[in-house]
Amino acid sequence: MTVQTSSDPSDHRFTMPRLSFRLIFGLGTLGILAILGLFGSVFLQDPNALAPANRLQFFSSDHWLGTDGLGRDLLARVVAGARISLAVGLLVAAFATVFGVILGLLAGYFRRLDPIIMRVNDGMLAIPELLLAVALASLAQASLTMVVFALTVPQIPRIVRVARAEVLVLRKSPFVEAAYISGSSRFKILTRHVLPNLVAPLSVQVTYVCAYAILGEAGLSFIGAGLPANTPSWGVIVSENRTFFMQAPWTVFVAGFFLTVTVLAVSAVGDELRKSAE
Amino acid sequence: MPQAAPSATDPALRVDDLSLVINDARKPISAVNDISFSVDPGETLALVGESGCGKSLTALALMGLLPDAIRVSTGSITLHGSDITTLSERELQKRRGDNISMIFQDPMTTLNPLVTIGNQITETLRIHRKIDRGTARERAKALLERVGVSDAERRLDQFPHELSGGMRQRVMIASAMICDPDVIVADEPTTALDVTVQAQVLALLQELQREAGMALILVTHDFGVVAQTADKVAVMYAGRIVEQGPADAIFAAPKHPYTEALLECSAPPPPIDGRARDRSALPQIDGTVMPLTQQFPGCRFAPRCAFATERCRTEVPRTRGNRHTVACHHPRQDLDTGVGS
Repeated sequence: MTVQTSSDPSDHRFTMPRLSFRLIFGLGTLGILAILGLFGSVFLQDPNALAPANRLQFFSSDHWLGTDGLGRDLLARVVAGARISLAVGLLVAAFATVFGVILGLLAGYFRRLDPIIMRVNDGMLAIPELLLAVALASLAQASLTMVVFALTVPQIPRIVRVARAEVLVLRKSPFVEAAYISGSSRFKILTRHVLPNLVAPLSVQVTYVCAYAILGEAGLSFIGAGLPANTPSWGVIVSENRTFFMQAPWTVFVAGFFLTVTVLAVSAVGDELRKSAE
Repeated sequence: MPQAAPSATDPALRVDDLSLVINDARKPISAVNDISFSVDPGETLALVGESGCGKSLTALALMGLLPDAIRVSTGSITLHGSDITTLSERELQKRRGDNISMIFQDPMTTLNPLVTIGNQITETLRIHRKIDRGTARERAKALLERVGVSDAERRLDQFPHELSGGMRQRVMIASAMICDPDVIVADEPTTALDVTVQAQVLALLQELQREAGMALILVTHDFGVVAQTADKVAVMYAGRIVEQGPADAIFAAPKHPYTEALLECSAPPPPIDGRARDRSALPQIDGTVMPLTQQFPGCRFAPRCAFATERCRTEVPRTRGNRHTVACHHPRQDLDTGVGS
């Protein structure tokens, strides 16, 4: 930093999370996966190229992670799956946050809307997430849009709950009241004084939603309610290879390993964010 | 709404026979009874009393900020030519920050931690006036310098946590003043500050208020603060103003036994001259404030009053006197003698 702003020790209130092993692991893993997902297709084989002659091969220099039951390169497929998983995770987190925060602000700030929004919210929370997701996913033809939609809806109530609780505290906080009595409009109070103060508490919840979405997409795809078969999603890869599990267990483990590590990485980032928020 | 243009001789704020009632499930409880006072431009009125006497509630009423359960049952509050008890929320919101503004007790929590000092100060200005960002910033800077914040240019871009408590209260004062309001209500503005900073902030507040010709209503329980700043004092007890008058008159010759007792309690302890100090020598008022829910036909101070008679327990004393008024059957000074009356 070139400009020394202040020698006040309390200067560091908005510090970034401390660079711990977990954070480096989390961000590093996600970074590598993102780069692979974005640029992997340039140097890897076609994830959908069939080569039945080479089916169910173990790790080799030609196929680093072996091949599946149709002889497709597993590394290429798993990397293509990373792109799908991360996209689903981010999109679900983003949509759930947008809708969840809007509803949470309305419920927390406009007290008359509170009972209506929160009862519907509680009702939705009572339905198991994956069950609701399966039901929603089966409303239309399998596609990425449907999967994101099906995974977003069950997550919205979770964001609403956290956001509303924070808004309830913030609306009674002295600086919000001070803004009110200096004549600020409700819209201005909400956007300028309440919303920015939601970022820290919500960021933790959002990372969990993201981790859940990645897992949820794999789950939906595994049971055939998610992405169409032959799409290189991790859930689909596990699902289509499970018949070969006795002969070639690595075909299942490879996708499972990537899934586990990714979800761990997202959760690690979330944990570190929570620690720094406390 | 007919709006008489406020003339120069009108008080900045006038409260007439204001009563506030708490809507309780069983029976309405009256929290503030028939209080009247007025403040002229450039004048400071101190509203003094113990916790729960209704002084903070009165301050909220002045801002039109009463909680849902409390309503104005009678009386009026005249600000800038109109009675704010009859105004709609929309109308009120136009006046808050512009005609009347408020300074709170705790500057640590009344500033948004995520908004820069500059933006917090200019916010009020940009709501009430058509003014561009640059001009607003210039005004904020000038005002920050005026309230004694050093290095104002740099402070504008700092966040609240980078400032000390005294600095933050100065920022609060600046943001309360930026629209040149007619009236500033300060609710215990120095209670949360260090003793050394208290006097500075009070002196500043008073100086600015005189300069800009604003009326200041100071809500406090601290007679030290009152002595330092107030022109007029209204002493509240259990929802009533028991004594009101010029500050010097009240300090020199309090008429109500409660005021007298309060002043005794806040007087400095006797000097230590070799003897061990007797702890019980610290003066106090025996008993406690009668709960608001309790029905009582007489003066609510009577059970704690050394001079109470049978009449005090059966009949509410009327407010008597001209400039220095008192609501007591047995005032401690003659009504129209005493200093200042």
